[in-house]
Amino acid sequence: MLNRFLAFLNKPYSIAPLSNLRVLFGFLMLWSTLRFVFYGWIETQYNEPIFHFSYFGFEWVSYPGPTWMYVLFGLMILSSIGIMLGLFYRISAVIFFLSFTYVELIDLTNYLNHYYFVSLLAFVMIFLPAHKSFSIDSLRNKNNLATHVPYGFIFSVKLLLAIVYFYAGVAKLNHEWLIEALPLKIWLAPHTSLPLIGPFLDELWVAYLFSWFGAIYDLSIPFFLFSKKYRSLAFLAVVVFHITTWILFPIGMFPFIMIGLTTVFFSADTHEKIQAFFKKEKVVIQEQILYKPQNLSLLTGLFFLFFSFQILFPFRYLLYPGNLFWTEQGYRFSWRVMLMEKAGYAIFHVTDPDTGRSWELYPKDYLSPMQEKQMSTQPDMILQFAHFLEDSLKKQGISKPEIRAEVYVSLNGRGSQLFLDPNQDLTQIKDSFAPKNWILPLSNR
Amino acid sequence: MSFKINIKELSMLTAGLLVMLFSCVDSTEETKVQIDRKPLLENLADQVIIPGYTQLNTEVTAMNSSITTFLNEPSPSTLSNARSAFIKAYVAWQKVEFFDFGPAFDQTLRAQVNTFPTDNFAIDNAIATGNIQLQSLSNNNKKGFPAIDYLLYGENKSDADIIADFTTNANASTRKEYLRASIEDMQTLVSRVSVAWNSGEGNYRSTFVERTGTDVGSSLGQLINSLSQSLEVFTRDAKVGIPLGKRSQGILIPKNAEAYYSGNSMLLARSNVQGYLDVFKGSRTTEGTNPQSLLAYLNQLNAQYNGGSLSSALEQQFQNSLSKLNQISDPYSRSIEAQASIANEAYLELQKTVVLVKVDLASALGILISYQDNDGD
Repeated sequence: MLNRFLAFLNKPYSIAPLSNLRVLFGFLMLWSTLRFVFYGWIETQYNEPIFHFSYFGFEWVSYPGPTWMYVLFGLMILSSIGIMLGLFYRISAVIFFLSFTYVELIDLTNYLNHYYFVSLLAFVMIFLPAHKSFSIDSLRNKNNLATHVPYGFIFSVKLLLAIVYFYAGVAKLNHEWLIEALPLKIWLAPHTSLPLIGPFLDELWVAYLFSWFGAIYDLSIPFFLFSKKYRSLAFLAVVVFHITTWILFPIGMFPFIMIGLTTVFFSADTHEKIQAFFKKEKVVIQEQILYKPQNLSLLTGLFFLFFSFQILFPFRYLLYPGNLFWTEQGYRFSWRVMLMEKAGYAIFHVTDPDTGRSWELYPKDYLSPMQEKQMSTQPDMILQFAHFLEDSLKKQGISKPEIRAEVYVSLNGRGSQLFLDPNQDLTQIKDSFAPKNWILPLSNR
Repeated sequence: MSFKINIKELSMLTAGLLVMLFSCVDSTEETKVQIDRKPLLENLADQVIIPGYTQLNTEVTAMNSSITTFLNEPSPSTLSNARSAFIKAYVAWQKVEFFDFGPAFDQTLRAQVNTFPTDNFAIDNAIATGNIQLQSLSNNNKKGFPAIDYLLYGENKSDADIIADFTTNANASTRKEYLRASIEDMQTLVSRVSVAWNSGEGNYRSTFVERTGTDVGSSLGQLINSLSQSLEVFTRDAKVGIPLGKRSQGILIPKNAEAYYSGNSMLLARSNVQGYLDVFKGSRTTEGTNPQSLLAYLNQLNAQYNGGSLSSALEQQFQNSLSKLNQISDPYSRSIEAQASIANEAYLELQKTVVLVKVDLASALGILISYQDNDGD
């Protein structure tokens, strides 16, 4: 069995899908990065906030100051061009992965599943021989040329995409999504002014149709994309699905990234035809040059670990008590995309035991609107913010401030309710993987 | 690697699942939400917003003429007329303060008309030196209603003192000039906004009623964001919380009360909260709720709150806030200490109102609150 699988991974396969993926990935990343810069988001998301939320375990990633932010984005732009052209590919891939991931790690506020996906794919790209054809590297150095690669390289990208879709589908298999059509019931209704489909979007059955179609689509599309027979139909579904989500929801580049990258599922033949179209001279079919990676077993081991992690990590939520959507313990990094309508409002009560005085602090005086919005519904961020307040109060000479959070959260159209234990002094709590027992249980209406 | 998937089997499975699903759906539940936001917006514009600005414009004009009369012939009776016209205009302002979008936003009306506490020292200084400049941004806390409040009432001054300020005292003429400049400045701003909503081709009313979406640039999006922002920052904090020490480690700041000099803080706060309620009820009259109101719209959306409807929860919450404000006596700056606990209760009711508006209402309407341009997923 293992031998058959290894043989499957080592089977020579045309490099064309991989080199095309490289060009597309580089192009999409260049586009995304430029878009981010031109929208002024470096300023609003990174430079303007006075406080940045850390990822647990990555507190050492700090905001480097405005100049370095521009340097990091400059590196992202240059390295994505490098990836796209296949110029100094490996170095470009490493730089892109590091700069992109560093920027993402600066502020948890900006967490998006698709940023996480880009980080993962950028990591995988480092190890792919995607520059061995259709690239400047391979033009400059003929030794760098290959026509075929072990199929495992291509399969790893397909597998990563398949995991994203399938897990997004699994995440939709819950009572609220399937039986209550939530949150789509809330989200679709305001879009009645859209042309063509608009008038139907406030119909209840449409919310159910979208919910069920979304779940079935996510669960089945990887299999259809792998199947030769239904591949083109599946890709059409990919395009329609993502364009629809792009029209309905503010999800930025994600639809285009997914549409672009799923082309990796096309046959080698299709990819070669696409490349032939762009090549000036029609090259005569040469002999097969197979790229043979050094350290194959090391690479296989690394990919095995990587994918085991991808498959297992999203299920960590099972280790936590309570409603996952409510507590969000084990929510991130699990392809839970557009799953809930959640809004909150947080008030921080400060007590100075030395004077016995109590007063209130409001996040809006310290955070950007985006930061406040994200923090107000996520317990770990509320805790981080309480610690930030504690530090700034200590600087003002209040030696032992007590900080309690009064937070109201509404989930999927339930009335707002108290989110955290309002009597818990948050300065006494350190974040950890342990269940947060100061989150109050969700009561249904 | 290929999977054989039988399309027939799959479609049967899908159909089966869909049949199961629809048999699960509670048949009593409404299957269609009737949503048309245009009448809602038209009603808001015609019954609430435009009448609000029209009334403000009328009252400011009346105040302008009463104060001009006072400036021409300072006397106890002209002073008293000027003051009552001032209060009426200030009360009218409270009902439009929270529309900080469209023409009001373009004119930075709120900041120019009602930034308090006013900088009374700077005003005295400007009067003493004769250097009167109201146009720059840094002068927002030296003009508008709070400045007029200071000039017409002063701190611990009798009516005779005020009249003397404008007649016999030193700098009486520059003081007159300052007051005149203040009312003219306000008149200009208010009439610009009022005109922009009302008149002719390309008026803001038509823009307002056409933007029927719920996205950030939509009228409903702007309105709800503006209401929630105002409720939080200006109503809860500025009008009630800040004087109560909510932002100053519990230390009272009576001087930061709205209309500190005339002592009408609670009168204004009640008018303001009643104004929000008018917006939700789609009507400025006391009786009933307009069928094209936000509250009715929430009912159409079937928005729930703790087992009841969100619309009645909201209405009740505004009423609760009003009744607490009603128990605090004016002047707030003086009642604040004796009535601290009732003021705290009023503050908490407003706090609950903020939560309902920012969390429940925005969620139910599908509106992004405190919007900052960025992607989601």
